[in-house]
Amino acid sequence: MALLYGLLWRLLLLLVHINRALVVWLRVRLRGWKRRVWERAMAGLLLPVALAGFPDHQKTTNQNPDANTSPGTVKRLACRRSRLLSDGRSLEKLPVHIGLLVTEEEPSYTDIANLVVWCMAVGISYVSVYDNHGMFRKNNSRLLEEIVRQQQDLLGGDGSKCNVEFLSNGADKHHVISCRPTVKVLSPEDGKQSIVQAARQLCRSVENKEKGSKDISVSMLDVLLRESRNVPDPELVVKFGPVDSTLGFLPWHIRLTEFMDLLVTLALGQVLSLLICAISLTSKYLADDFHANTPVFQSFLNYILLFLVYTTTLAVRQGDGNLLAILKQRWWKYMILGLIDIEANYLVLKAYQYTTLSSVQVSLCV
Amino acid sequence: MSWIREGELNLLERISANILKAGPMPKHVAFIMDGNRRFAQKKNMERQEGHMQGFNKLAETLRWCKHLNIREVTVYAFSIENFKRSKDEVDGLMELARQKFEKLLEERENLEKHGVCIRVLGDLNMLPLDLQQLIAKAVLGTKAHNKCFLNVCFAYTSRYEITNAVREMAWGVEQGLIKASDVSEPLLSACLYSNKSPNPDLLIRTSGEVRLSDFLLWQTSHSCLVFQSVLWPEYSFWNLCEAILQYQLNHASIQKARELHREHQALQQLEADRACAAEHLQSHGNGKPASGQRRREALLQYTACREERIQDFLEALKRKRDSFFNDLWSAGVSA
Repeated sequence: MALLYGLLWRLLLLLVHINRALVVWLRVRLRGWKRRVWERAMAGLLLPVALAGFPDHQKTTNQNPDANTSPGTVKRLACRRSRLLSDGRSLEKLPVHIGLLVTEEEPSYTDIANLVVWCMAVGISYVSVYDNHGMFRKNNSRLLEEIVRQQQDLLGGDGSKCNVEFLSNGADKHHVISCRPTVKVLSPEDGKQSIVQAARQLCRSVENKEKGSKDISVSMLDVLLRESRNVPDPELVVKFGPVDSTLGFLPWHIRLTEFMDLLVTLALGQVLSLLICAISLTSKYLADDFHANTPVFQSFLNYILLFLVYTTTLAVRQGDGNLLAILKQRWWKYMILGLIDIEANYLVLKAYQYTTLSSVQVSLCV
Repeated sequence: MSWIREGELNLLERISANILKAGPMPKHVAFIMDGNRRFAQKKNMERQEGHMQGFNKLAETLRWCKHLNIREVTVYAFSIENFKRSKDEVDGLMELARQKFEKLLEERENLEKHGVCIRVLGDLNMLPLDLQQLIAKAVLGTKAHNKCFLNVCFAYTSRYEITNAVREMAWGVEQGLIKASDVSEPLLSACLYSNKSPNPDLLIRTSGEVRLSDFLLWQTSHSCLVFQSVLWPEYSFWNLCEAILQYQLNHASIQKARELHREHQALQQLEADRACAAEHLQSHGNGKPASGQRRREALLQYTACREERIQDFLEALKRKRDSFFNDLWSAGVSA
């Protein structure tokens, strides 16, 4: 009997893993690829883009600049910079201090540097980067180089305006004096260990009869833990990686911090690009070698997957996000969008039969 | 309504519980029971009624935990921040607490039968005196039970708890029981209100908020955090199973992280001991550099002394805390 339960448990875990992987894959793929198709279709139908109703939960996080735009002319960079700034301004509320909590085993320095630069470009004053192995702290200089390089790439040689202040440790090096934006690299030592050090300091002053034990208050400890700079508590912590835990991130400071789990790993970006590439290649292969004229069938499989994952997830959700509630409110929007989506998908897949791979990709990306 | 609910799980629930128990189960679960007021608004009830429903849900959740072999549960009943709410609401909550603790005292045999030990964590000085006395009676009455543990955080915030632990350590230094250099992470953990419990394995917050709101910030640094959007009075057995499943998915990576943290912390302690022993040798030595043998002996001796000091200090702290409850109880009896 115990064996049977054990097997059932393993099966349950496997199903959950598959579900999660599919949700992540579909969500990121939809956002990247279909958004462009949808936006163009919207414009074509003269409907306001707002109707497209992308449930942009990540209102307070960054918008990714086009991954496919090649680093190029000054004009393009200036456009991107102003777009990032206007994106930031259009948000109702920006966190003053954002934390990036990386729970992956092997984080990508480039991706973190990208994130940091986007945060700064959108207008966030303080960015803290943390991983629980202390790797970012150990490879401090490498991270700094990456950040500077990404700043050059993404925002142009504007390094002088967006001075990065590197606070690596309370005691030592400050690279540049200017105050904003500030990047802080944290490791587990900045968590419980710094609280212990503050406690030791207070106990030492009690030992030296400078104060009594009854004088110790929350504000006294708070002042010690905040160091000399008035860096506010992180308002938002964005978590990357599979682990649902803070893993020792600044226990004292996260009293009122909101946690957001993007359910993507940083490395997933590379995997996804690979997958999208594979899809395009196979579509082309099917069209050329097998002369398979099945654009509807190819997108049909896609829709089956979407249905299995999203409809079941929504069906079990309770409350306002329930499938029935959504259908009641917005069924007609989904009808229109569904029609447009099917046609657009059909046209794209049909295009593989008439032209080369690269021209399809370019027309998608423009 | 009672604290202890009797009753078995139905067939489907029992099967699911058995499936979940095939994997690693959390031994200590913490709940932030959020959403009572929103529930009351939704159902057009009074807020008080919402809090009552919340309490009933707590009793039911304890029953599910018992069936799932979760031995220890910590709940966030009342925060120090909640004192800022309207006087009516605060008084209502205090009255609810009084009723519930009185009910608890009436059910003493039942609690003994199930072996439930109730602990109340928080700055109890902030509560009205009669409530403090009730709490003391409840805590002392169930102290000896050891089958399952319920920790109720009342008048609690994590920052106050950590500050209090620092204050206790400073008191120890003042009394000459320990030195300032003895202050370490395990010692701070042993001075918290929750020192008798292991760290929670799983923290669940209901009602969709994604904050910790000053709850067990120190203890949950390596716990699985699950945020669920259901309101607390609507919590179901399946929500609990979902949370446990998420814990099981994260179990391996969190264990690894905990191990890493423990190793790191042991290393730091060793380094600190070594430094202190070397300093001690130097001050008591005769100027000659000590041999490796001497240094090792000194390190062992220093570590043994430090551990003894800490044991004595923790004994004194335990006596101080017990006498706080005993004084309250005897004041309550004589009053």
